[in-house]
Amino acid sequence: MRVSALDASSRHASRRRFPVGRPSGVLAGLVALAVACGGCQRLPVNLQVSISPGAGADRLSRESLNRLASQMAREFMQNNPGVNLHLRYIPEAQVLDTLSARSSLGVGPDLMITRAAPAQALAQKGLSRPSDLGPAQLDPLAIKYLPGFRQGHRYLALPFLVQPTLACYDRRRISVPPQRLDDLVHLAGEGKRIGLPLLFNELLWTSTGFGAEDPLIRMLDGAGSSGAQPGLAPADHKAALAWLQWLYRANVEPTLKFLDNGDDLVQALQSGKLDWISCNATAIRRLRRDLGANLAVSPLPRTNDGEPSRAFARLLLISFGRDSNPEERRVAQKFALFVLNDFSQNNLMERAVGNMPVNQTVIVPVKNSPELAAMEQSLASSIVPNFRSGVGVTRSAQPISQVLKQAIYGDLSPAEALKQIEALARASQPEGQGR
Amino acid sequence: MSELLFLIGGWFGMLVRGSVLLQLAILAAVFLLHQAWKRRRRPSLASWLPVLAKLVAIGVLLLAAALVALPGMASGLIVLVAELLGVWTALDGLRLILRRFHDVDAVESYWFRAVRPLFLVVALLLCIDRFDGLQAIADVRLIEMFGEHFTVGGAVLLVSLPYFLVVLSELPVLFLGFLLQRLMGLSAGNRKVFELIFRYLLIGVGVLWLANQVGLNGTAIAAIAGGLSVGLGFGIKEVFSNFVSGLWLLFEGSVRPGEILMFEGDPVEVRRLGLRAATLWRDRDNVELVVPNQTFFTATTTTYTGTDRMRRSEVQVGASYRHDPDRVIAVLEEVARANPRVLPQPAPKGLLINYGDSSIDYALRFWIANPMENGGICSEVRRAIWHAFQANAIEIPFPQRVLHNADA
Repeated sequence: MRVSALDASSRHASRRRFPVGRPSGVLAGLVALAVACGGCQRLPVNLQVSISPGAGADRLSRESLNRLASQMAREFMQNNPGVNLHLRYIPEAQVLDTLSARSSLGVGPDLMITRAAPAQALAQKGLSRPSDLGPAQLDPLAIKYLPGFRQGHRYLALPFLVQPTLACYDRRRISVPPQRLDDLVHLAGEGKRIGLPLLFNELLWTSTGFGAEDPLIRMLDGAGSSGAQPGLAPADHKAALAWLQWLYRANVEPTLKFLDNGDDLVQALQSGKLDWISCNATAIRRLRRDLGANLAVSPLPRTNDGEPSRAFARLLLISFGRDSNPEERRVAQKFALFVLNDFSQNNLMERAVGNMPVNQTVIVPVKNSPELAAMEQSLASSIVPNFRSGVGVTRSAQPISQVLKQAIYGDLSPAEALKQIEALARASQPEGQGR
Repeated sequence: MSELLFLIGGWFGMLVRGSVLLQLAILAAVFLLHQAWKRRRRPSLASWLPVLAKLVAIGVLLLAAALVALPGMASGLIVLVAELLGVWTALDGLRLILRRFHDVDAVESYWFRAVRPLFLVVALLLCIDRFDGLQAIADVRLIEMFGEHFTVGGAVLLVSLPYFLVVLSELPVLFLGFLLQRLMGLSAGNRKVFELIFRYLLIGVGVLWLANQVGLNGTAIAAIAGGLSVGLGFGIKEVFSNFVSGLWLLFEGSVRPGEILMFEGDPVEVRRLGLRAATLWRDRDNVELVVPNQTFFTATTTTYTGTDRMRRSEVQVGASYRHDPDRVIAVLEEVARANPRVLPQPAPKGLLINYGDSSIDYALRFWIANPMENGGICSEVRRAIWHAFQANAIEIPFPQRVLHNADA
């Protein structure tokens, strides 16, 4: 019953002679089909849109944006028959590698929606192309923050949505939100459970009153863009040290807790383990579902001098892919204009709480919604990252957060922690700033 | 399903991009050239020429990729195919090397059943992943089943995993069996039992994992098991009976691969004990008998390899009445002792078994080491008896009838 080697060989040989299924044939057919259909006028335009709203802790904003993007895509396809929009969600941590790999094949997306740091990296690596949209199309939209993305006469990316940082609290436990930073610590002293994030970029607002925020941002953005080594001036050094000491002292309060990220804070507030947290506006929807009318939002506490604290807002950007053919590029720009117009921006703001329009012609109904009012107020003093400023903070957030954690828990002295932050700032400077 | 078609439709848009078309055209040209060469040369399976040809093709592809990349155009597709071709060529080279050291049939069988399909599946998945992200297509929902969404990923797993579980489990199981045999001094039979049980375990765990992956929850599995039990009661009870019998026989150890049984009057060797049936090899006509497992479970089984592998054989012969039986028996025993394939211990034994019509009937009983060689050894002993009787002038009579005429 054994099959001899000869039998096996002849069997395989006969298989080889069978023409169906040869890769070359399939490939040739594919090419012929593609070439033949490439000239067809009735073929739909397939637009690939990659969305990377954030990684890990940003699950809330990711869900929110995914829902919004799907709605926008459906509406755009309804208004533009013959256009198919394909949305792909790529985790922020993988966005550069994934898009770089796809672009090397020539199949990179036509549009990319990311936060500022990845958008800058995409532009620097040549994975995105500047927008062809000029003043004629963009000026009527009055897009906020646009100049920060300008390169020559073109824009490397277009702002899409902005998500400010707020204070979220349970009104059953806290009737009046803390107005100043000292009030926050005082509240903790009274036994109110306060939560702050251990992520550098989400905690940086607490440094505003110490005068450490701007120097730190400048340092991380590469104060040495002119060639000098990034570092802090003696006065700034002192301010930063004072902030780190404050963080350490704040942690001594047993009811003031530092949690790893914003997502953990939201969960703690949802489950009643915390009474007050700093949160991104995109978390409001989820918090409202669990806390109902007991959820209250307000701008973050001011500095002890009464100045507004300047928290980082998240800015989502639209970048254009480099592999699109002219027709895809035209439709991609049309889609970008669609999501930036008054109607879409208004819809985005209304449909998903937490997303604020970048189109300045959209009127934010602050009188009807205390949440929108808080967001608008918070946004007025927010730091919105662009390719010139603020991106370095996001880029270096993870390693600096580790240092902060050690400083807050006393494993590192404030001076040692600051030394390490300065070292990280020097190490994180990109070779070129996409300006 | 429409979601899947929509997604695949999106790929078409990317395929008709100029840079992708150029890469596809280059790939098609290189493959056509390679195929034309193969058609002309028709190299054999054992030849190194195809490996060399593939190396040349890889070189050409990499050169083309470098040329395409010069003006800044995308060339990753060509590089990706060259990389895959490189892996394929390395595997092909490994196959040719293995052919020199192992059984050719076994190498080719594993190559065609396992390596080639696995490589094709992995290459396809890799291409999809690089092209559009595997997760995107894996998450596409096809139908809803037991309250869970059955996705494309689940469908692919359902089609491919059982095959690869069965085929790929062979090699690690063989390695484990070899390791256990070396470490624990297992017999060949016990090793095969361990291998088979471990393989069943591997496949069982894989199937459960698969059920979980495709979205079958515990309730659904219970429902299927309930339905199956009704099915078992009516339609497939024989299959289930054979499966359980096979497992029982394995644990019991009476019918294991390598055992020698007496089956329908012939010694047979157990080659495989499968889920449904055992495969027996019969020496006399070199056939493989596929016998349902429950046959051994319900009927008496005669085995030569229960406690040892020896078999007692017997040859019968008649000698004339005029010869001294003691002398005949001594000659017979001497003949058996002289055969190298007859075991010296237990010693061969000659017996007078009957006073027949025309001869005294003797039996020569002796022991042999391999039960499957009984026929050949008995033949050798019978031939030696004839020569020994000739040498000792012992007559082997045959029946004679003397007719007396009454009138005479």
